[in-house]
Amino acid sequence: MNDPRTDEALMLAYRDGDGAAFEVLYGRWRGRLYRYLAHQAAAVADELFQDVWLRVVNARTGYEVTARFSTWLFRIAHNRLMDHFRARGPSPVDGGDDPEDDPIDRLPASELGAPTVMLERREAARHILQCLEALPAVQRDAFLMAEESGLSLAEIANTTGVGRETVKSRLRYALDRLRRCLAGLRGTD
Amino acid sequence: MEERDTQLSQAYRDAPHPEPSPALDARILDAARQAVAKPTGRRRSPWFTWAVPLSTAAVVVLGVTLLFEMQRQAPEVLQSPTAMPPAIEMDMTPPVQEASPAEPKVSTAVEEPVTPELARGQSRHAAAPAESTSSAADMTRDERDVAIHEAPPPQPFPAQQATAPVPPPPPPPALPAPEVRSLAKPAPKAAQEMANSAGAPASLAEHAADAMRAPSSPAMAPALGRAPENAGAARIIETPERMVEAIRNFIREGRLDEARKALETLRRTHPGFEVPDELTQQLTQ
Repeated sequence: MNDPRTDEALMLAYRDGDGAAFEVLYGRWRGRLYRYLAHQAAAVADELFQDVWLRVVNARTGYEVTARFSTWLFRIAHNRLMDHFRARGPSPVDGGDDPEDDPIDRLPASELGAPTVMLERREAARHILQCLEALPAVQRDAFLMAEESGLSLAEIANTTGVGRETVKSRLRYALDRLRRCLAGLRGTD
Repeated sequence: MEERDTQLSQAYRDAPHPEPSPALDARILDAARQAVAKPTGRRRSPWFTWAVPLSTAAVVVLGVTLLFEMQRQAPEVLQSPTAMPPAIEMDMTPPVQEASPAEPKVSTAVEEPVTPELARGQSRHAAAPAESTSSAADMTRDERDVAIHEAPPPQPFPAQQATAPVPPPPPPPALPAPEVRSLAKPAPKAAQEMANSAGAPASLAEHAADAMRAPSSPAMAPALGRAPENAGAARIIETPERMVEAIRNFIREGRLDEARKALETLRRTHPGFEVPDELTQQLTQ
């Protein structure tokens, strides 16, 4: 998977019939795209995820490098997600995860560092997904887009079809809410 | 990015996240491989292979058919009286050539050689004079075609045009040369004088005389509603208005008897036509 080609070059190669280029591209973005979708619509994450990639496959013949590949990919994902919300209506808790099944417990210890830091990070990691679910949909989308796509504010604005200041505002509100949410959860523990 | 919180980002990255299942990965990758393995964009269907040759052949066949159809219909269109009115034909005829004093003959009707077709049509009309009153509508298509072909091209009438803004008289019918020459002998004096006063050459003076020689001359017979030998052709190009003009010419020349006869003919042949009052008044005085 250590292909030196850029995402755009890989997509162009796939457009021209190089199936292996798509596998490299898919390996680079599968996790981030899935997380972006799953944290907003966990119940249908697989369906949305497959739809997005099939749209990429079907749109390959008309692909031209006009922006970063991630911008194009997350625009497709965002639009697909909005279609889903419009069709079914947004749900405050899309996850449907079992609250008893805490994924924090499955984290490997080696990834968590020193004991004191480990405790703080484990606490933050434990609660941040809960706080993320409590965010308004647009703020959650902005936060996830920023975290997973690596796009700038302007690129997120272009991807989601809103102004840059709107994205900036949504992201700032999202971070404030997450901080307050995490502080509140620590206080209750 | 300016709006980032490293602690929150770290916490988010440390959080356990769901991953797509291997089965889902396999489905997507299979679909992607099959998409590029399909020869959709490379191989053309038979229709696309033959689209250009078939389209070209269709255009050629259509064009050739259209060309043949236009050639088949072109003579009828050109010779149809509705395609080009006689007056326009007269205006388009170059008068200089006709007015040339170097021309030794009287008119093109005399000049034209008698073609077999012309002779056949003339002999037919000559053999059946009683049928000459039949209208053009009663004629068969072949007869009309022959009549149209027999009618000589309209001749300019510079002498008459110089004296009065009157449309020229109808063209003389095609007749055998000896017959026309014999009719041309007693040329009316008025027409001769009119042509001479306009400075027209002798040939045109005789031409004017031919045209004004009604009703004894077949040349003016169509204008007067008479039944000439080639009534079919004459009726096609004759109108009551032109007959009125011929009557006015008679009155102007003082030939009142001929004008009255022509008026009777006009009323008989065009009963629905409203004769100008001034004509009636002039002829009843």
